[in-house]
Amino acid sequence: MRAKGMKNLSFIIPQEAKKPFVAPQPQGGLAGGLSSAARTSIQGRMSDREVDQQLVERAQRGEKRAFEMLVLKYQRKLERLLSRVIRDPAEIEDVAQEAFIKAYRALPNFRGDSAFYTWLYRIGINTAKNYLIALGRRAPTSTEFDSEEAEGFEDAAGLRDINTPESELASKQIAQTVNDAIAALPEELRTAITLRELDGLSYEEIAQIMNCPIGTVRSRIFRAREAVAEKLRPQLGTSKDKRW
Amino acid sequence: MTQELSALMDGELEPHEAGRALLACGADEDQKRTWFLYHAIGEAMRGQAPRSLAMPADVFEKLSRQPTVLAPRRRVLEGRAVRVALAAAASVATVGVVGWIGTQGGAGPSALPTVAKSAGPAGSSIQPVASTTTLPASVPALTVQEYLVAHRQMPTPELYRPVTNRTPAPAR
Repeated sequence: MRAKGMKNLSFIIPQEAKKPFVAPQPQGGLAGGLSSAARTSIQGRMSDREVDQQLVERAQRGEKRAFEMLVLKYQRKLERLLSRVIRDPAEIEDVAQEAFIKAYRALPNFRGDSAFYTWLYRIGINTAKNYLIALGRRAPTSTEFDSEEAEGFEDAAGLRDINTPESELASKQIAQTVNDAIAALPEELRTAITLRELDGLSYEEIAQIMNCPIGTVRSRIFRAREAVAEKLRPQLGTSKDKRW
Repeated sequence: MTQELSALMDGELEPHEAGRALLACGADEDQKRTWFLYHAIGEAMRGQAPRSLAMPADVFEKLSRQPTVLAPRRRVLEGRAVRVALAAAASVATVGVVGWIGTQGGAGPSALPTVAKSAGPAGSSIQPVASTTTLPASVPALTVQEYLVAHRQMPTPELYRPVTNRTPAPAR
């Protein structure tokens, strides 16, 4: 089923695109009467931050496993950010590790005034600068790179620059696996996960667009993720298995 | 439970469901791997495919050697609860002020018009009622006038004159 007003939801391979993938925008507004103002409020909603806050509060109460979930969520993002400051992939991994440990130690001081990832990225950038200074290398100045910029840092350009041929190949394989798995999904699952992951819509909005109950949306997104995850599981390892 | 994990990462769970899902995920290695993979899938779809799908075991190992942090719990009122509490407080304050004005404004004996003693012929039963309230005897009108003059807003030209040109005040 293709929702009314939806022009194109076909998935593309990010590595083949020169620019970061931008989700196709439906013309004339989304079906279901969502205005541009509504879309702005959707993009500004705090649910992701609230999930992080819950994890932070649990970690602050002594649940290390809650902090591990934050590590699993932000490890790749943090490393992508650090790749703009440090060139060597092994060093990036070390600095990211140190930043996570510093963040854990400083957790009692985190009051939730800013988003957890903003706070974590700031720690990451400061750790990277200190690391470079300790090695006698030139650390980037604040005009070159600022932690505030971290919030808007989403493209993979920096990452591509520092990729070794092996890691670039691995990255392409992962992207290819995801693309193939998404392409093989039934259309209603593909539409649901695309609206969620690329357009950032809530389940309620997706339910309006797809004209189905919210529970169905929840189930479709889960089934889509599970189908893709099943294809990725053979590539899953640990940092001890392979070092870049 | 995995479906709850999927909804959790989208922020689509009620707080009590989220708490349950987080607890389950933290305790189960398979659930953690799923959490890791689901985030990686989203990133790959947005053109940020990771370089590897390696779980950060090194970080976990270092983390396990860290002393467990325990931050004092902060009681943070939810935004909505704060708004309701403020609205209730404002309502109570308004009712209180209006009630106080009501009791002070019309009913009290002090607000009644002053009855002036008649200077008329003795034995007359007619007593004129003054149309204005009278000032208390202890505050004569002349004193008020002096007060206003002393505290007038406009300074005298003397104050605008440079200090050096000012005429010294006569010695008393």
